Amino acid sequence: MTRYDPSAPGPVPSPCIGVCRMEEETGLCSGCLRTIDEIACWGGAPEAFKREVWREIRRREQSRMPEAKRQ
Amino acid sequence: MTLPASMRLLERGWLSANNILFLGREETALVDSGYVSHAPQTLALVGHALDGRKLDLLINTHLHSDHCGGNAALQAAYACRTLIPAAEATSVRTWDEDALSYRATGQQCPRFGFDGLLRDGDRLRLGDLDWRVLAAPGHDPHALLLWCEAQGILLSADALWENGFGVIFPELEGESGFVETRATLELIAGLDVRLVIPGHGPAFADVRAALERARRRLDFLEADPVRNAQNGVKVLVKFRLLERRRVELSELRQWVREVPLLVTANRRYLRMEDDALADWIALQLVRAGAAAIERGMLVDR
Repeated sequence: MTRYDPSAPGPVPSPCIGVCRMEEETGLCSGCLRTIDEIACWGGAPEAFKREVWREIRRREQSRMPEAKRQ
Repeated sequence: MTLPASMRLLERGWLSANNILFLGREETALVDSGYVSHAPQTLALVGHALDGRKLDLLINTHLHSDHCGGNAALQAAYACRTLIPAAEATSVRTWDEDALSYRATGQQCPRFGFDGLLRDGDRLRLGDLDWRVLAAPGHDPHALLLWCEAQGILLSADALWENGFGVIFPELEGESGFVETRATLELIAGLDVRLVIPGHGPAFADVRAALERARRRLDFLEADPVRNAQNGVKVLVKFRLLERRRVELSELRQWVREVPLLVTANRRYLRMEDDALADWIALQLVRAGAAAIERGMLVDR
């Protein structure tokens, strides 16, 4: 994942990195870590929604890391 | 500007073009279907957004692999009616991969059928809104725009993005493309557009600024067609890299010898030794931050 900071001003970039495969176990895309609903809503969503999704992505990244590596 | 309640923009990446879903009272429709390797994802997104309904109608703005690669899967899942640009009817009916772009670009697209044709000036009802089909040659000779005058919404496919437009492929093969690309930009400039939904990237409202950037970009490319060829070969390789994720540099050197459009662009404009071209493309992609080299492999970034 790119090191995008969701609190940075300006347009919010798409989290898509081209993997585009939903994980059955987690219900998340294995590339961008979004739910199907978050992906489907993204295109028409306001910036505030997108920033919140990015914060959620960061939380999911953290919880997928092994215990020892978590910040 | 928010979208009408009957429209959903499924914003994808670069390997798959965006899909625009319409949820009309009587009928649902989808414009463009992404790349074949993302078909399961496309089905999942469309199925989720349809929320129990079926897909009635499928439309393609043009038949590049990233816009119609999901057609076969959607047709299998929904038996949806499909409309394609009229000029492509014979090529699709006979599945002529030479007339279609897939052999030339080294890209994949599974065969699909169609039920109707779209021509410049046709009118459609999508999402309970009236849309007009407009011819948009340049990037592709048969490409179409969808224009909703009442809402001021333009589905621009690859004719206009927030920053640029799709590769002007006809010029790579020695056919006219710059003139048509400019005419299409001016056609768009003449419409009262409030929101553009492009084939790639986010929807945007500052159409005037996007058109200005596009005009300057076109000026740059047209001033020396070598530039268009340089852009074209980089984009073609980047596309393959998006699909494959990583490739041996030795395989890249094979691509420049085998992918017909890479061969054509090189012979006609770039005139480099094959290995030198492959190495140049890799270096350019790395410089642009679009790739990295790791242990003899070109890796997508």
